[in-house]
Amino acid sequence: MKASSVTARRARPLLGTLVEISAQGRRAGPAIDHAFRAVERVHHAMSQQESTSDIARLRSGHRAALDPWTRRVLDRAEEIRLASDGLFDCVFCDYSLDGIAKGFAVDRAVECLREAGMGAGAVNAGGDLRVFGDESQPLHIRCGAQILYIGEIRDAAVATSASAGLVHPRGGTATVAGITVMAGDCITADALTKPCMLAPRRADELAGRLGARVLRLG
Amino acid sequence: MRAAWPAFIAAPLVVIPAAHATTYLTVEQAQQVLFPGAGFTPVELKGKERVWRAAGAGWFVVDEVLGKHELITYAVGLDRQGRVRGVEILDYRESHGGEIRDPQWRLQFAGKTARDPLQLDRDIRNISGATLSCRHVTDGVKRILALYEGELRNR
Repeated sequence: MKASSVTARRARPLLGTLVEISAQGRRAGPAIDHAFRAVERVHHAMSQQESTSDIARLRSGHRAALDPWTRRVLDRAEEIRLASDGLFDCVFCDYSLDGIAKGFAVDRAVECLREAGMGAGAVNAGGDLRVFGDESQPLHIRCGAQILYIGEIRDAAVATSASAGLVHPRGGTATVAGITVMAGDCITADALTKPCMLAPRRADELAGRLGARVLRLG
Repeated sequence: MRAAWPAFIAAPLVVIPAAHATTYLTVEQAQQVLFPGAGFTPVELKGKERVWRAAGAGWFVVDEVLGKHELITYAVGLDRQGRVRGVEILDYRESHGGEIRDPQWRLQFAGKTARDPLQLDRDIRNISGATLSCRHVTDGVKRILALYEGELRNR
């Protein structure tokens, strides 16, 4: 997807960050609207702040009225918890789905763009991103005051985590400054950054179990 | 689906000073996204916000917020009851070189449109990394809701 052939590119404040969606194809504008509605649904269901969100319901023990998407996220979170030997654990974090909801939202938005017939596109939720389409697209990683050009990616999801505030479920904190994970979908990439940060020597093995790869910088 | 990765991250990487800019929508495009088909009349107000009345539909406000490293121009659509109909980012300018608070630097963006893209840098799409906060935009929207209460509600 060359810059000149991008049909539409928009950004909105959602999920506590700026969510950018670009799409190439006929009627790209309505396709992007549709994709933003999916991100809004995740925002309302899984927001930390909103008292009417599913997070508030989970914390008060009510699982009955959950959005089916929240159940999907919880199911995937459990799979990743098992695959990471408990290093990824949103129940430990009082049902914060922060470490996984953005990735899930990116995947749903990409699904919307594909369903709308877009030939290529990208969704970036504040650094958790996924690209699709036949042509490769550039990947950059933000590293402090610099942006690094990494290479070209195609049909891939990428998430990068910095260690600030990351707490180990069994005590202690992360020991590496930052890590990038690439996976087939963004929920997996997003979730895996945390266990890979907490156990950097096992990062390749943990990512490998879920078909993902770890990129280290510096 | 087969994901294609970069072969490997090998030095030297291309290092780009983080001073990039993206134009998402012009004012006119954002008006059509938030109020499709509506007519717009500018409204003169004292503040820095630019305000339009969207005929029969509500209000359209363009404002900018300044973060530590970013300058964001955004548009808010309010319906006739003053409820937020949508928020769209028009421009995002990022710099880690200290230019953000320099009025001269900011002035270069005045009056730019999407047809006139800023070539501050190469095509820097798909940046993974530290999550950007949208707090300044969220605070800006709250300010615009206050502006509605104070200045637009009774017009």
